[in-house]
Amino acid sequence: MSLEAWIPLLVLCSSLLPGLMIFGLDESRVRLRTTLNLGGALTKLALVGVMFWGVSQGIEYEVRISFLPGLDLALRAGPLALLFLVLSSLLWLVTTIYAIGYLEGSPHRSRFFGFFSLCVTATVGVAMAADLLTFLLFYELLTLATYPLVVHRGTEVARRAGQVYLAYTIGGGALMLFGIVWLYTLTGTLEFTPLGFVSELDPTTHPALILIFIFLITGLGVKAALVPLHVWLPMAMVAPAPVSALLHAVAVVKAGAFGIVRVVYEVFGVEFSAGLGVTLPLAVLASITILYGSLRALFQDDLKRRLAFSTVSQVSYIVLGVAIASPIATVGGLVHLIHQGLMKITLFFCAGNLAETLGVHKVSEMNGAGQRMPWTMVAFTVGAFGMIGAPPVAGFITKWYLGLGALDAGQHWVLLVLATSSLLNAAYFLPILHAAWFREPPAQWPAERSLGRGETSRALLWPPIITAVAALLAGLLASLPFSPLEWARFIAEREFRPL
Amino acid sequence: MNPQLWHDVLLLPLLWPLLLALLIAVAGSGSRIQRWLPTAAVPALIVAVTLPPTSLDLPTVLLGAGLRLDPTSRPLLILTASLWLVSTVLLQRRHQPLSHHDHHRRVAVLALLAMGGTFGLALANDGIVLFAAGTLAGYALYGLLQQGTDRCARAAGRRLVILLVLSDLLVFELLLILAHAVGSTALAALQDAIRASASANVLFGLLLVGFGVKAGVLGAHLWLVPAFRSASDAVQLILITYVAAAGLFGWLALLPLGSMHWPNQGLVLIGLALATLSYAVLRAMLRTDPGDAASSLIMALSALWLCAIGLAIHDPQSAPRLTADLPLFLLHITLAFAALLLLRSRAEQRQCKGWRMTLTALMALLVALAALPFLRLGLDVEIKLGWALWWPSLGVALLAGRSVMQPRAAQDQERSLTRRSGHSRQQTLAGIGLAAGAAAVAGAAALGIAPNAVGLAWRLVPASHWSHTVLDPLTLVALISLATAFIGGWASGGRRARRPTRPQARSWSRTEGTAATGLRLLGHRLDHLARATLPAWRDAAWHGVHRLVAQRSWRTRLAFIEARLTQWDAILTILVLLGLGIAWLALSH
Repeated sequence: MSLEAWIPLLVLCSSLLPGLMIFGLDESRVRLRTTLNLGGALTKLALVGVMFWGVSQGIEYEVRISFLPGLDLALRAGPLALLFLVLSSLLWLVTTIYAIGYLEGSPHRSRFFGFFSLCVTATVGVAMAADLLTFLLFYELLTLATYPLVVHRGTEVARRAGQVYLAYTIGGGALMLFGIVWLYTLTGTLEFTPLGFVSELDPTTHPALILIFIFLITGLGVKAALVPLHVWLPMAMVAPAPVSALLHAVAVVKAGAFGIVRVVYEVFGVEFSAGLGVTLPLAVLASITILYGSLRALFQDDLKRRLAFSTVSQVSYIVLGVAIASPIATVGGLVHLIHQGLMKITLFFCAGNLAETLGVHKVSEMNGAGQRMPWTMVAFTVGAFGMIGAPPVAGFITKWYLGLGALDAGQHWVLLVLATSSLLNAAYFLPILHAAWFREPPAQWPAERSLGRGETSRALLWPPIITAVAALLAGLLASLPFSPLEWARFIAEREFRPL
Repeated sequence: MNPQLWHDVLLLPLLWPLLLALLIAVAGSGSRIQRWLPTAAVPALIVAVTLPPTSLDLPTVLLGAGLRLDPTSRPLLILTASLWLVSTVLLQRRHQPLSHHDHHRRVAVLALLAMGGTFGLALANDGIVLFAAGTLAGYALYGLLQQGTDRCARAAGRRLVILLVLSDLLVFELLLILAHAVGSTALAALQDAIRASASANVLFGLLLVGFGVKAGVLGAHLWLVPAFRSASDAVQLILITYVAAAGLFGWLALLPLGSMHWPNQGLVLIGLALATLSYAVLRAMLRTDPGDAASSLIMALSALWLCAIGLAIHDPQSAPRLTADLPLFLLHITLAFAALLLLRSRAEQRQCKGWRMTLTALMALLVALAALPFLRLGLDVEIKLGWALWWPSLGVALLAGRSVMQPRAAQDQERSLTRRSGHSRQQTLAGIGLAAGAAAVAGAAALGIAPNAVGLAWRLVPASHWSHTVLDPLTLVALISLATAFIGGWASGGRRARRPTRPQARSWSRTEGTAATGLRLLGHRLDHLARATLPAWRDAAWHGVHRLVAQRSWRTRLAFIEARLTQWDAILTILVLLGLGIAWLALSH
């Protein structure tokens, strides 16, 4: 095998092998576990960096392993895959550092980090999948790897959340499998292809294709938390903060959204999808999800629950960008894959810091939090402003491109959706910031703990600061070569149609 | 000097305050870096005075940003840099004796962020930078208002942030529509898009609310009045800077004045400006709080500015005469106004009538004189609807005159003057410095010359079209009218009026629950709205009309109307009526 074939496998193994080794480690082997975790994360990041450079130079990294007659386990790292790979490998490193600090002294850490690594392995598999079947395999592995993380605390609420999560995601997976098998019977291939591979089919198959599209989108919509399939996501916020960060920003919801991107662009083809008349309903569904998620977030006092509903809303920006079926909106949707990840992980890290350090779990308990934990709240502020879409944070770039794309496609109603969503985002984020920065802190916090010399331990403090700075720079230097925006434009030009 | 350096230096006014903010934030409480606060505006002032006209492209920033220093932006940069220099000196003095280092640090960081934002507004050469800078300045100002202990200031901050979200949203949509039309975000391209646009009503509506909030026009002034009433002198200067940079300058930056023709929209803008001015005068006449006088004066300034813009878009023929010197006007009046605020506050504190009162009166006169060119143009029959400028010009003079006597009346108020701590000789000196700047600009305008930078060839401001050296009959009439209004305002300054009581703000409880409870709650609220709130509004409106009619005198009627206009429902009604008016215009054309 050539080097180009080895690297995707090495990327998979860089988290799979440390994960399997960590499972066998005793709880007391903290240093070795930390070394394996960070070593795996850094190795993966380096390998992804190599692939990133190679892909930008026109190299495609591909490997095929045959496991059934006519069916391969196919991995390919093209520009679109790299977008998701960079996000997941970068944020995995940051989340690992955070998780090490967050879980310090708590039980079952080997189990936690083992599944954590498996989860990332599945995510990079989803990113690099070259066909629908490989995609489905890793997609289901992701479900199984994240379930133990959701129920990690072992409480009744956690187990209940885990059951709901499993029921929804396995149900979604089954629908996908049905759709994939049906599609295979029609086309004889499942290979992701720029501009899609179903457009040449006989027009008599179009009703069947519409049904297949619905099956696939429903299956993917579960993880992407499209309304009404979103119920599991706010429930799953009972998991520890690093898992919430993983679910909301790195792996699960992103895998769903990424799958929708793949299906619309590389299975059906965006123009063919628009011709079938399936993109407009998808755009409407995404808009409903955007508004519904924001409305629900408005009424939540539990901070993580508010953030969870915010995720329901924000992830649908990606789907909306795809469904608008305009090249400019595509850029907006794709770049939000990265931007939402950076901003949302920041917010979850900060929520975790507040909970771990001060025992603050509710918005109504956050008065004066900015005075006690200024840097955490600075990071939270950056993330929140990004979500609102205030420049120069990354969220602004997304909304700008989505708006331009909507105008380009003549779908002016999307502007109203974006404006209402921004208004609602402001309505549920600004009161938090106001309370944290400008209200007097209470005489005593709910459960204050001293973690380190500063406002909290370094392992908890640096990850949100790093991701907040990244979110700021992703917006401020959006036009820098190799920035998320430029990469999204590169994808749109190379894989879809010239801008 | 390397020519490229001239371009790169344009970044300095933006970067230095932001870098200083970062250093102060990182350095921790009580750090010596906080003493550098007054230096933050110095690079901007140096750049504004010494740098030749230049521009800088930053292709990697945002979506391809651009900065420029030209005859339009230079006066604004001089203005903002001067006011920020004074504000930071005052902030430094104000907080020195305080032991709350964290508080001082927060104030310093917020002030520096707001400063960076206003400099960005002055230097922006593209729509995204303009938008980003305005957002940064707005939210930082909100933070500054929240840092005060005064409940009124905090309430003002909360109102500002609500209106800011709405305003930014509309500006965002405006930029989006324009950028889509021309495929660029450069200000020149956006102006082209406005010129060529077929949907003038939509653009005008977005502009009006987007920048109107920041300029404190009637209907969106709810934040401005309490902010001025309760803010310290330093924050009052920052407020003036913000209104000038984010509210007034935005019109000049985006509208291709002279080459666009929006007759109906021009009329709406003139109408709104006159209504704003009327409200400002009414408010100033009924209240004696110095903060109220200041907010009324800034509203009058906004009104005069918008009236000129309205006339310019109504009649492109006269636009060059009306708008060519707007930057100079802004520089003149805001410097004089800031000096007036500082000197009056000092005189108020010392309760003296000596030279400080004389200086205060001179500054008020300088503020009034800023309106002279507009009144002169208003008397010119060649300017269509020129009469519309009379009332705003005279209004500015009236309010300027009234503000001279405001301190004496205010001495009797229960309001304590201790809220303005940190008065010092520095304040007087700063006031005199600003006064000198304003006088220089006014003198240059009076002589009909554009002042050159010290020893340099380029001009600080564009060549003036106004030469007051020739005292033609119209100028004489304008001068006499202004003097009359000024003296009238001065004479009326001693009167006192009762300040109407304000209703308690309604508090909203936060509710937690599932989708079902959320929807149920929404249903309850809608039901409550239909069954109770709307009928209550109707009854209140009728009751209000009855009470208005039942008032014994015009004075009490005016007081009643003024009290109503400070409430949300009245503001919303005005906004709805305005929206209906715009919609009617849109439909009729």
